[in-house]
Amino acid sequence: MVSPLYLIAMLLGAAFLHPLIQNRSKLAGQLVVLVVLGATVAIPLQWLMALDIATMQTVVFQTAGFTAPLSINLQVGVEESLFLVIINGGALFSALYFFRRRTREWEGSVQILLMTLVLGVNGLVLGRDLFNLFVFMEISSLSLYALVATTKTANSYEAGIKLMVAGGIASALFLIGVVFLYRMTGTLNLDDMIANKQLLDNKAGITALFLITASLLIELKPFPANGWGADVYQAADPGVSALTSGTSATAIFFVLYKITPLFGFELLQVVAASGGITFIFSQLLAYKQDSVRRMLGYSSIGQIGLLILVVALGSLYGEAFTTTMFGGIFLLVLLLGGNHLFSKAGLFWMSGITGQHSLGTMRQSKTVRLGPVGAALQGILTSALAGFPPFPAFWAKWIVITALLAFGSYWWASIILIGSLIEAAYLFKWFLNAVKSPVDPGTVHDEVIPEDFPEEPVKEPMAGASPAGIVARIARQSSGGWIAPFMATAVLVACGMLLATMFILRGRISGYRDMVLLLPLAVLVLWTVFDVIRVPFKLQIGLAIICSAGYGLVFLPGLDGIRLVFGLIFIAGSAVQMVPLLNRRGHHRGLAGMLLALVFSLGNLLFASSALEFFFSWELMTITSFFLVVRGRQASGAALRYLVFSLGGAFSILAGLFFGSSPLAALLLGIGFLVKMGTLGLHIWLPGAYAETDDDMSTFFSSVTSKAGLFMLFLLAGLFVQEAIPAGFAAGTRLESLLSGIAFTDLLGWLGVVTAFAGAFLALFKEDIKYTLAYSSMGQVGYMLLSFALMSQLGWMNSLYLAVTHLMFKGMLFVAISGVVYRTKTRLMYQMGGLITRMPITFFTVLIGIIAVSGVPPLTGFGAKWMLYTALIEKGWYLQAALAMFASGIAFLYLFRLIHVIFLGQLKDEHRTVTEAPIWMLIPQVVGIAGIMLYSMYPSLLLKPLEAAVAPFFETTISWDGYTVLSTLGYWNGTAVMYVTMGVFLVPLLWLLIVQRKNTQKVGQFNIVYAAERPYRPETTHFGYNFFAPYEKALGFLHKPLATRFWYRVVSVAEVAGSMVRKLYTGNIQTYALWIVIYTSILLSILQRGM
Amino acid sequence: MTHIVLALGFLLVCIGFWGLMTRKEVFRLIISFSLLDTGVHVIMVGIGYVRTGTAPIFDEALAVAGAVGKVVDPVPSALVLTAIVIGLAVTALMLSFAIRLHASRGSLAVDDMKELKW
Repeated sequence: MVSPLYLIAMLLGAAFLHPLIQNRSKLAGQLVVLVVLGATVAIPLQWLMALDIATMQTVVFQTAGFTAPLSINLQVGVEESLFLVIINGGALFSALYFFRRRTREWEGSVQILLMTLVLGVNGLVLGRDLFNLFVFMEISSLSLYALVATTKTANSYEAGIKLMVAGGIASALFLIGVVFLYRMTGTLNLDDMIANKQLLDNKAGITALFLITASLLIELKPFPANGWGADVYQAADPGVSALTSGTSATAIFFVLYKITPLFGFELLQVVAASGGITFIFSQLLAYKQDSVRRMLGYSSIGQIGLLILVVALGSLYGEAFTTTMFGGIFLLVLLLGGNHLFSKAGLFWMSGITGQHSLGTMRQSKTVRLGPVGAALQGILTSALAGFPPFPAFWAKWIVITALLAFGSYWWASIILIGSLIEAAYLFKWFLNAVKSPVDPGTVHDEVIPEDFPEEPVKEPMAGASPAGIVARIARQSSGGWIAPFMATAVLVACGMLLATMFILRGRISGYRDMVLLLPLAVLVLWTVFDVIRVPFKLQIGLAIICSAGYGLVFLPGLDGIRLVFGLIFIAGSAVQMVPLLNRRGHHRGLAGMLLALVFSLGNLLFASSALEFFFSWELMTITSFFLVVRGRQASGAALRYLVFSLGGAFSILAGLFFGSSPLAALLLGIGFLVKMGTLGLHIWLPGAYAETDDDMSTFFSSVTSKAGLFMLFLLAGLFVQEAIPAGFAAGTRLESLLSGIAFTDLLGWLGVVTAFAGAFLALFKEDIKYTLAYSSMGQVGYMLLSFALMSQLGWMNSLYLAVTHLMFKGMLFVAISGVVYRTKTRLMYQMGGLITRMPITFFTVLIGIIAVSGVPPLTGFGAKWMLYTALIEKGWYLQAALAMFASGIAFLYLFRLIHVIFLGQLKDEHRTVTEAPIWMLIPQVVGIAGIMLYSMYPSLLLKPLEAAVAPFFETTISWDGYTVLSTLGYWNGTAVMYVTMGVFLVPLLWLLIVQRKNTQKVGQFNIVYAAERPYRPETTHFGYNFFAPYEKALGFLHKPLATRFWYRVVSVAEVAGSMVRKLYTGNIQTYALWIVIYTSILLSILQRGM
Repeated sequence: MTHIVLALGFLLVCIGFWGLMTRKEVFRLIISFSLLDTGVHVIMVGIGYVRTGTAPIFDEALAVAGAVGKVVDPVPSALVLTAIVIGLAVTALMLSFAIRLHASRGSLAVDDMKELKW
């Protein structure tokens, strides 16, 4: 084993010799730094190989021939080695960043300071002597102070002075604490002190410990004593900020971790409170920031707060953490710390490379758009920081939340989840801002009706913002440095893959089936390779289709019942709907891989056998679908909303998983699933996400992914039959008799029918065809929920029947409409018309589609309606039945408008040369039509398997007579209905064609003309514009975006809180110092009250 | 005697804090900071002192055996020496920052340091 002294000697020696080498050759000087820093990573790796990891072995090195109390002693253990690997690795990448990027400022002094900083932090990690820790802390702090000032701006000096004053107060506290501890224990050695812990178990001892703890906490920038920290992040070079947030803070945190064994119960509670408060408030503050670097700074402060919270809670609730898995708290700290170090440093470097200072409001687009590589790096780093799978923070958060909920510590769990949600919101806001297209205002959540006369383009106020100027700026700014974020990303991805393999397989590999959950990750890697070696996009999609089919053939036969039904929806449905993508030209990096990963994660919901496996797949589905929505031209606003709602839902599910089968579990899980389905109130993400996605992608969201929530409802149906109000609530009052007996299914039923109504109603008034379809999907999902909530054989059958047929007809409709939009280049219905002659096949698809949706005979929708009303009446839900009936009527109106406005009426002049949709778009339509016709003609083909799937859960209420279904209320023969309807349709048609042939007159398109005046808004003269104005007049009050307004309120509460809190940070150095004093006094007084 | 030293140390720390809170110029802040630091050093020496103890030098007057009870603990003094050196470095760096700040902004008034906030 290499002695750790060499580590320190090497760094110190290199720092001293550096000026000499630098004088001879600049390159040699830089290479020395890289080699030395490389060695600081290699040495701990060598220790790891020499140490026994299973027992967490430690070895103590003495110096100068003395033993522990007298010598400086350094401890090398598994914990120290692992932390040094990540800390020094971060420093090495930082050096690469400077090395590649800043040839002018990457001077000798910076290189020396970097090495002394690394020396200091290595000492902090290895040292076991309190006073040595102080010395190492000062070495690293002094290096950092000087590094902050290397930008050589007034702001950086200002930030440096603020940092030094705060650091000075912290070290004064530390010194006094150390001397008192020495006085009481007679030693400075940490191990001796821990052995004689009882000596400190009095007021003076706890106070002395408190002084040291407070000093470390202040160094780690606790709320509210951290304004100076944020100022430093804002003013310093991003490379230095990366070092501050990663290398330095992580090492100081490790010192805190080291001394926690000395802490008593009260001190741990105080530390936990400080960490938790810092976490949540930093996230609020970051949310309100305009400066990217300050935002990242607050995020760093928050993440370190989370680490502190976890360590303190881990010591408080030791058993809950250690029993969950190997390594206990240490593993958590390592995962969270390492994840934060690399992802945050990577993001700081990205901000430096792109030169993006100001976030800007999402409205004004003065951003530099990232290229595909930059977008991929930032996307991965952001996902890692936000804790998405498979990155380390995901597993750490899972363990933390599991342990906290197991221990009944609900408050801490909710603080961590809420803080994480806010963090994801602002991080992804930044990401979207950096990747969105220049035409995207970032606020599109609803249809946009263009003005007749477009506004004059607003002149950019910034000088030098001409396209040429921007290009030059990007060229200058991104002159390298990419290697650092790339390395950080690579480390995170590699660790993520490793952890996923560890956690998911847990050592059992009995066959290929165990690997199924890891398939999405493998897909992402493989398709990234395809992108790198430039495999043509069509080939990528073709492979994806083949892989989906293969997945279906290999894995689905093992399933039965409801799982099989949803398996076919998820896998077969997706495979067919990938075909239109073959129509695309050019490169679409990441699209095919993300899509296939999404399909596989959806499929994996079927195979998840534990809560972790389920949650892993669910989160993978969330993040992959988010990256698909992002690709839309104006989708950034909608994508953000989608992400925040999905993640909020996922967190609700995560919490719900740990409440067994209580009403609370049903509530939390239900909310999570309903968010995914987009039921009323939780739907405000839905229209934007469905409609603003690329036209050929919308169909996946609408017809496939929305079913994931429904599937989970089916899977956990048992939860929802219980009473919603726990027994004993409002006991003895009239309220009790009123509320008792209301089951969750009753609520779900009402929610379903109201959603069906609202979806149809909102679709009615849309001019934008994709929004019409999006709201229509929402309404259809409402019917599925209503049928599910019936909890009867017929209800469940209908819900599944709807899920399958909705996949077909909504898939058909979306693909058909995407063909129309592809050809006409518009989504606004009033700009179309008369396309029946130009796109006859598409017209036929839409015709079949809307007949199937609306529930008129003879197509599948009729069967759904028949079953729905039968089941509703059997159950006695008459009111719901009436409302559902009314909603179907409304649905018919918007469907009628859809076909009427687009395909009938006058052909627009600019659409005169439009041709039929491309063949790739027609294929899924034909498949859909075939499916619909087959199931309409022979419903039993679908109903009998569904009956079998539902059979284990309910007693049978229907019977069969050949192809006829018999229920308690009547019968339905699909074939007969088809014949009758055909007859009813054909007889008048033939009569018109043959008998009335002579009386018809063909009208030319232009035998109606408008008066000479040009209307101000031409669309107002189109019959399709504002088609249902009379209804809007009558029922418009229902149209108000109440849910949207509610969620805006929620957001504005968070924003107001953030704005109020940030007023604490006046920028005044003395205010900051005062906050440090107040912070310390408050902690001390809490501590003393505790004693 | 120890008490007086300790009291003096705490007094210096308080004066330092008071200066840090009330003075409006960076140079005075640095002086206050030095005072605070010195106060901390005095406290450290005060804590290490043992009444009627002798200097921890082994010679005819002080045998190795039983020395622990008779001598003043040398460790705090050693710590203070290190701390003084470090304090000096911090003060020097602060002063250099102050000079640079004055050169680039033309003012050392605390109230002019308002660019970084919120």
